[in-house]
Amino acid sequence: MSSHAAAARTRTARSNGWWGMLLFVATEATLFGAIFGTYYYLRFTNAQWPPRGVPPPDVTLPLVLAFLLAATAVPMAIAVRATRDGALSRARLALAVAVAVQAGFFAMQISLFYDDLDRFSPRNSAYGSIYFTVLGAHLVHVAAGLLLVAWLLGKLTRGLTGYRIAATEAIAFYWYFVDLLALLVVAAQLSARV
Amino acid sequence: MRRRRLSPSAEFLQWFGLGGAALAWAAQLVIGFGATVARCGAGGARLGIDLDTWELTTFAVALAFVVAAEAAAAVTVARTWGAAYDGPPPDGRRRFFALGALVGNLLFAVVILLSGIAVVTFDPCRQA
Repeated sequence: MSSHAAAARTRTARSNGWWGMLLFVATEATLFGAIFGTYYYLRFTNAQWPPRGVPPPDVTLPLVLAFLLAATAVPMAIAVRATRDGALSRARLALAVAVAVQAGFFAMQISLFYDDLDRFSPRNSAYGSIYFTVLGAHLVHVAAGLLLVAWLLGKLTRGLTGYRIAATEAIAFYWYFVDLLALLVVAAQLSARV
Repeated sequence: MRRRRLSPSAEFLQWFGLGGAALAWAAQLVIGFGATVARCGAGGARLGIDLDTWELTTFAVALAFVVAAEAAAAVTVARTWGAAYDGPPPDGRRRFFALGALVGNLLFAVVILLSGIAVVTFDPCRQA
């Protein structure tokens, strides 16, 4: 075990990087709270949801994709544990698995997003506006998370430092938030079917 | 090695400086939204709610909280002058939080100010 990993294991307090990420996630949660609040406000003040002429959203594929994305919390947690244990190759493998699934999810979601844009516009109804806002905001966060995990994977190819162990914990925390968002987004999509 | 514990007042200043302005903004938003719904809804029309008074009061209280939170953060920065913001807890952590709070609280002050101006300038009971 490296001296950095040994130090990380004996550390009782969270790193400042983790706390910084917590504060950042709190601001993001506020943003998504406002977006979901708007979605459900519009949902329950409109008798017809989605409006006439707009097809109800497909839910099977988004549901499968959301659970697939949520499952990447497992390799992220394994990566955190591995960096604290000093098991660098296990951490890299877990991150590589996570980033592959995350990239697949992102590519599929972008394709679904453009399919939806072909079927209805964000300009013609409140439903279209908030639907694309919810999906678009989540996709931006997935893209940011994907870049962070890929960056971390690149950093870990050059060894383990205390800074990189803290970064793994902070980025994993951000990713758990993105996973939770994926489930909330698909729940909002499902609510249009109820 | 045992961790040094903070005094209750130092701990309060740290957390109030960090979260006081955010809570003030959230309270202003929720109270303002509730008062507007009560004033403009069909059931609230006969209650005689003076919306401007409610909004200005919550605006003033929220702004006072932000100023107090900014002062708490400034005191914490001053008390941790020798510590590095990425240093170990408790002093490094306190300084990190306080520096973040000094900047974040200014943003909350602007948000509260702008929403305070907006709610007394625009007609609250007319949908866009």
